[in-house]
Amino acid sequence: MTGAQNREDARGWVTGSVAVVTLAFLLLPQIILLVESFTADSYLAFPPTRYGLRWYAFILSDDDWLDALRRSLLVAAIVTPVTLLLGLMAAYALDRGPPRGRRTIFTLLIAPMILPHVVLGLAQFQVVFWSHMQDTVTAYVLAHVTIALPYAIITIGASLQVFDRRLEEAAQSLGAAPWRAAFHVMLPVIRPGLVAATIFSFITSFDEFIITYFLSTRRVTVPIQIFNSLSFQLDPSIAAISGLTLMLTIGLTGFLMAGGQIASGGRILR
Amino acid sequence: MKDGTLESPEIDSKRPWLLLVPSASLYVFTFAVPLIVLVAASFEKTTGGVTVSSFSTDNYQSFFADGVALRAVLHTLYLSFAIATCCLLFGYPVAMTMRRSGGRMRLLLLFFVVSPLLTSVIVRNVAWILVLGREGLINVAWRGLGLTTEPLRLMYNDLGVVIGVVHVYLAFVVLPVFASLMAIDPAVEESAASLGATRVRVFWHVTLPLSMPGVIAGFTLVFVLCVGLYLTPVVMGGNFVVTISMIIGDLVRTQFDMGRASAFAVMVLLIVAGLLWLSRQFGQRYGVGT
Amino acid sequence: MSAVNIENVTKRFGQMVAVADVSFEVKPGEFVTLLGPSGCGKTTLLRIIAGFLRPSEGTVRIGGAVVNDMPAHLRNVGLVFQSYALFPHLVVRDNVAFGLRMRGVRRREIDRRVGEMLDLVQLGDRALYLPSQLSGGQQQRVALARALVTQPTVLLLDEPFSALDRKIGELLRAELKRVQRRLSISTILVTHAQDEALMLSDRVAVMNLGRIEQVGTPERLYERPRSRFVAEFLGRSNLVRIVQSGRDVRIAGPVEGEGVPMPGTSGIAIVRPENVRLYPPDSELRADRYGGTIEDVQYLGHARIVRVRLDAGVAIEAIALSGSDWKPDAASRVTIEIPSGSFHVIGEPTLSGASELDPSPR
Ligand SMILES: Nc1ncnc2c1ncn2[C@@H]1O[C@H](COP(=O)(O)OP(=O)(O)OP(=O)(O)O)[C@@H](O)[C@H]1O
Ligand SMILES: [Mg+2]
Repeated sequence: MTGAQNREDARGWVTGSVAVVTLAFLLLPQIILLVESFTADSYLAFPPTRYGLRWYAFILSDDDWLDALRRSLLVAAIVTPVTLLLGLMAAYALDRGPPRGRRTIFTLLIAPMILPHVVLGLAQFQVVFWSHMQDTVTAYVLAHVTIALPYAIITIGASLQVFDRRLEEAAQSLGAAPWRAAFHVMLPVIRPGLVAATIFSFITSFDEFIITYFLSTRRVTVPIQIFNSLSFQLDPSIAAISGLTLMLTIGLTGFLMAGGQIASGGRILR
Repeated sequence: MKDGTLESPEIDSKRPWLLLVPSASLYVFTFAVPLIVLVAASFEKTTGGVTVSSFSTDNYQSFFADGVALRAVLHTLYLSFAIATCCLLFGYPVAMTMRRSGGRMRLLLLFFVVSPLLTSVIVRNVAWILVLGREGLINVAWRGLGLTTEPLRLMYNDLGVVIGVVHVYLAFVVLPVFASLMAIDPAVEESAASLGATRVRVFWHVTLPLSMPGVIAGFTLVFVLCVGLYLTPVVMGGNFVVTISMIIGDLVRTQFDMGRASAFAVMVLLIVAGLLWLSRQFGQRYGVGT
Repeated sequence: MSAVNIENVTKRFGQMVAVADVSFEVKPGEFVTLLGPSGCGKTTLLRIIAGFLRPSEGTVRIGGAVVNDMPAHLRNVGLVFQSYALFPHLVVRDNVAFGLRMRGVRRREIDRRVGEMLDLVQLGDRALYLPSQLSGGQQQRVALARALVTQPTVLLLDEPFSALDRKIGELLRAELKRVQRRLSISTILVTHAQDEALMLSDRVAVMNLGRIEQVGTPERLYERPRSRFVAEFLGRSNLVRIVQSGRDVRIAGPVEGEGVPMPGTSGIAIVRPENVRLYPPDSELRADRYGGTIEDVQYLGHARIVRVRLDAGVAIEAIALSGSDWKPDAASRVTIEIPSGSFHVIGEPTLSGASELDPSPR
């Protein structure tokens, strides 16, 4: 083996190990958190000395946590379908509308994504404040849909772009009216994009902090409740609620992705 | 795949655009009007809750006059740059590895990269406290090895913030870089190699320049997103890291100074616009559209 | 009543004229092919019939009714795309059943008809496979079954064999013909492959630059092309300038070259290579024989295409069937014979038998 070859191999090896370390870095914190959330200790330290459901039991019986959890779930449960519907309509409009002007409209539609959320939050706060909508679920929902919509438009738009429109024409020639062709053929085929949009909308809403923080005073959501309790004590209830949040989002993701696979006969993995 | 003649719509009908009405009306109330109010408020001068003047540049003057805001902006930009650079340094090898691996492995790697996006910011921050904090995994292990009694300061400083943010935003670099790596025809690299270029040279002279669109897109996205950093610096930076968003948050939540907060927010907007413009200039050099 | 009737149809995309004043009809049970080079407007015409494009001018009738304003889903046409466009999320059975479901046919009826149709295309054992689990040829047959199960007034096929390899393509052509005969369904096939057109069709419409150059049976188009374009598009042909005296026709020179001016009527004619006979160089020279040198020989297996440069300067292609003792060699001398009756003057009926009628299609 020549020296040059050795160097080449070394380089491949370096790239590989950087990748492995990076991937460990990506996953490690979530795993640690999940383990820690099952601690039975009364203080937060890793690794726990005893395990149990003590802190899960605590947050599920504590009024403040339950209230925040209920509100977060309610908001996300409204935001997700609304975003999905608006996103589908907008992405479809862009896909089927004339190419002229498409770029500009797209940029406007995804603008809330690049706008720093502090700026958007502050802007919305002033409007919400004057219209006495602070602390309302409506205000939270509107804010969350605004920031989740760009992601939905991008993911659904991407799957519409690779959707072969001849499938729809085939359906029409078989007697399906345009709307039925869209329903029976387009929607099932772009399903992965819709699933991704659903997951992202849910998480964006469930996770949103700064805007909701501005728009709320007493009626908080889970991230704000975690944030507030972080500032006075760091007890394992935070790990438990975080663990619960984590399991909820992973569970939802897994459920939607598995559902997609079953519906498409496991096509994704093949 | 698609053939152009079958694909092109018959008439350039604008009718599909009717479907934009719901999104557009939402944006009017949650985006356009609030931004107009924001800009208007930024020129308002109030004392003790009473509007003194509806057009004054006092708020903007205070941005430059008091060194705090300016320093926070500079620090935010510094953090953004550090984070975007780290994302690139660690994300590029991951994207390369993804490109080299086969279907199933690639899907798994993709899941790893996107997984932080599936968890909430505050949850991730709590997780990092468990790893980097005084009583966190690393410090406990460190002490266990008897290497030192002094705990390592891994958070409540810039390092903690960078680690915490790189964790999520890595995906925003890996995805576009991966996409542009996949668009490179391997034959181009092979032919360069067959002309006698070493792998390192092939990388520098062929692969990297060809993946530049993805690099620029990813770097810009992360940089711009970082300008708005709020939660992670608060949780993982403690009181030691101050970003411009934190200043704005403080003006709103504790000082109720809407005028100044709005002016600062407008400044942030201008900075973001400037960054996007810069990135476009770079992008055009590599033939990237918009 | 014809299955499809196109009258003076023109289609413009902005300035560009994709289909120019086209008229033709498809009789019930007839198989008509639109043949032409890429970009000549075949797909556009097919999409106008299917209802995905509106003609700029002219009338489209399906089953006697004007359908210009009828949306695609009400036209009752069967459509097979080059890419098959099978629904990837549905198994074979559900793909085929789709059209019947859209029409609200009862479940048992659907099961019966889908089963029959799958048997007809020999895919009875693949009913529960997804399209991605089928070979290209099988996908093609599913597409055909899906288009036929609804008993459309007309079946439209856009280059259905071009994505398949040759062998499978040939098999499926035969199968398409069999199914088409069996159901005696009116069919329009779009293709740029002349052998396909000649083999399958009752009539062929040759298109060029948005116009139909000539419509007729395969034999008629091949033997009596009306234009140089049709002659050259269908099979191999030699194009020559001729001179005619009485019943004798002789080659006068190449079409592009000046040629030697000769007494008598002159014109341009084609000669098919299979009508050119090859003789040894020292054969007796007659009025319909010419001396020349072999320039090039292409071996095709069953035959050789021999290009002969005549002493008069014209290059003529001839076919020499394999299996004879004589093997043409490049650079050797030959004599060729072209009987007067083998010349076909373009734009006019054949010189011999000018009164022969076009054998009409059934
Ligand atoms: N929607 C459209 N807008 C503009 N021009 C079009 C459109 N559809 C087709 N054309 C043009 O019309 C001409 C005919 O196209 P068509 O698809 O009918 O050709 P074709 O004969 O099917 O060719 P091919 O064999 O390559 O499929 C082409 O020059 C094409 O560019
Ligand atoms: Mg075509």
